Amino acid sequence: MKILVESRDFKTRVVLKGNTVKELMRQINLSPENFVISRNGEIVLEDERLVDKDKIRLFPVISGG
Amino acid sequence: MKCSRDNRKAVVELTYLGERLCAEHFSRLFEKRVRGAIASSRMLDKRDKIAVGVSGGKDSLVLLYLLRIMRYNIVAVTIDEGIKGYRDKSLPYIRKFCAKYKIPWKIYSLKKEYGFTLDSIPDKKRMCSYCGVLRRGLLNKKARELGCNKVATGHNLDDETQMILMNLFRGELERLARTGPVTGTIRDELFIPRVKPLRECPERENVLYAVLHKIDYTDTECPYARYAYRNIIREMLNQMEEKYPGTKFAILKNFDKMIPFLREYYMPKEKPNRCRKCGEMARGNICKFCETIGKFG
Repeated sequence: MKILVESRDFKTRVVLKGNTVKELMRQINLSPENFVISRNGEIVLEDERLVDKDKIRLFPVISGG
Repeated sequence: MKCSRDNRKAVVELTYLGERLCAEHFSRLFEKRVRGAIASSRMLDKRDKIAVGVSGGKDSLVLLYLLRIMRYNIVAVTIDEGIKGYRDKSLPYIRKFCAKYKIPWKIYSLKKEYGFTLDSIPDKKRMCSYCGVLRRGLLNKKARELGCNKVATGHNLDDETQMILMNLFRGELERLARTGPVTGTIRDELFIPRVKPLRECPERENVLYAVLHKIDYTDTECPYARYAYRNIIREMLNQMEEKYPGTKFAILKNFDKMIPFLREYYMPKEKPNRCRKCGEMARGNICKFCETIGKFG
């Protein structure tokens, strides 16, 4: 399935090999601990199952000065 | 995954509480924690006029939002240190937020007040330390000019525990004595006490609260943050928290128990000196703020 992933510094399409947020994060080499994650505008936990064309937004925990 | 308190969908897992919470229960817990911190340390009073230091990031806008809904008398104050690509990007977020919630907003720039910017300082490795002195000093002066009797900042649990360990590791106990929920070891007519209502809120939860409440903030990182010693401490603390949930809360709570002893021990025996240049409290003849201005201004 294809997932659109957006964050402060990037926007990319990922062909996901697994089917959860956790697997997506592992695939793009990011730690879920460092982000608050939304799927199609709703906050989700790592174990959320994804479907084709989902839009994932990553909000970095560390920001500012 | 469901909320531990009802059947709604969980948006956060709080390992230190052993709970998963939905958006509503999380928001209630978060707000209760902030009200509790304000009340237990007697940070604020409804008669206070509060200058809220606002950078446009998640912490300061969440603080501004909460103090607004709690109906405190607030004025947003931004110090523009002159960091290109950082401060200029954050100003539109503050302008928009203050207009939306009808909060008065004042902005003061280092360039206008003293003729230099932080970008012009050559010693990049000490930037965070210079910036801290300048921002605190200017915020204090301007808050006083605005008739405020308190300054509130958006420091979160992560900021606080990092600060505690940094000062411990550097042997700066006297400096630690001046921190805490309400700063300062002595009362002085020129010093405006600084309070930190979000000091019991983990940084991650500030992000979550901001997103859930549609608070539009800037998440641009300060370009000088990479030089900070703080990053090493942050990483260490996050590893500890992951392995032993609740570590950060434990550090803060135990530090708070030590504050009265530290303050008593480091309470100045004599009245503080006055800075020869600005008249504010000083350790020697010149205060840190004027010393820094003198170096670069």
